[in-house]
Amino acid sequence: MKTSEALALAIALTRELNALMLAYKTARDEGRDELTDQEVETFSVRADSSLQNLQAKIDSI
Amino acid sequence: MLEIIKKLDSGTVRGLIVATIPLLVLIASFFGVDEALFQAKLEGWGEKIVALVSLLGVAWAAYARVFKPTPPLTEKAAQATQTMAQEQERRRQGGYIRAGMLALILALTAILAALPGCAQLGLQTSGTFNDRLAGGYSAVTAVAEGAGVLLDARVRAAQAEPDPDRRSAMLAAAKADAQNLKDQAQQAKDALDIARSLRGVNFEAAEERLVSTLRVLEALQRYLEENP
Repeated sequence: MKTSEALALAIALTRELNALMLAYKTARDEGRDELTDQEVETFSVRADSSLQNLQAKIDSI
Repeated sequence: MLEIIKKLDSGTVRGLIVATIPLLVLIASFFGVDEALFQAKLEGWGEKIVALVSLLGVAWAAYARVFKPTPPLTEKAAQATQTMAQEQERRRQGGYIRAGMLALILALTAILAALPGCAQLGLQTSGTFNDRLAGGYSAVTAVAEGAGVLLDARVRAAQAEPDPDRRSAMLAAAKADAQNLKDQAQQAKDALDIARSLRGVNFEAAEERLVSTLRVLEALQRYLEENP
């Protein structure tokens, strides 16, 4: 794996982590103990989108 | 651009230089240089012209080898040239990451993910159901993104392989591994969806499903970290 690819991997993981932490922070700032169902749904949609992108990439080979 | 080698390191140039020596001796003999040693002298103009043409031919071959493009003449040479060009291209792209550095990057990412709170944001994550559910979906996304990056890397490595059979095998293996990762991530995503739908009906069952799915996702992430 090239350096650029390893960094891309680290960036992808960190980006996802940041999105999660940002959602936690927003919830705490608003005085909530946990994320709303709607907020959870956004993560579910992102996961679906990533899985579809991965499948498209696999099928293109 | 292909790397150049020192001109005198070229076997062609060395051979041509060696071939030139007798010609130089013969030409020197035209002017009576060291006749006693070589006992050879070209008398007629025709022979002299032939010798000069030979010398010019050798000189031109050397010039062409040094300054002109040198396409390979055989399949073997073509393959060797292609392999050399690909190797140089890989080096020019900045090289491949060392296993230690990759492990460090991934370990730092994993440590960040494993922290009970995010230091730069200064908050504490709770263990509430929805928070962990969102974390699970986030892990699915991370696994899918990571698998995509790894797939790209493996496809690129396969395309650099000169042997067609080996290239096909590498592509097939990369594709199968990515498909396996995707299928497992998809199953984890489906399990999270089930846990989410169970929450209002049977919280204990939902909690159990969530915990077991998060373990699967941790294992998938470990696989990605350990198999770059």
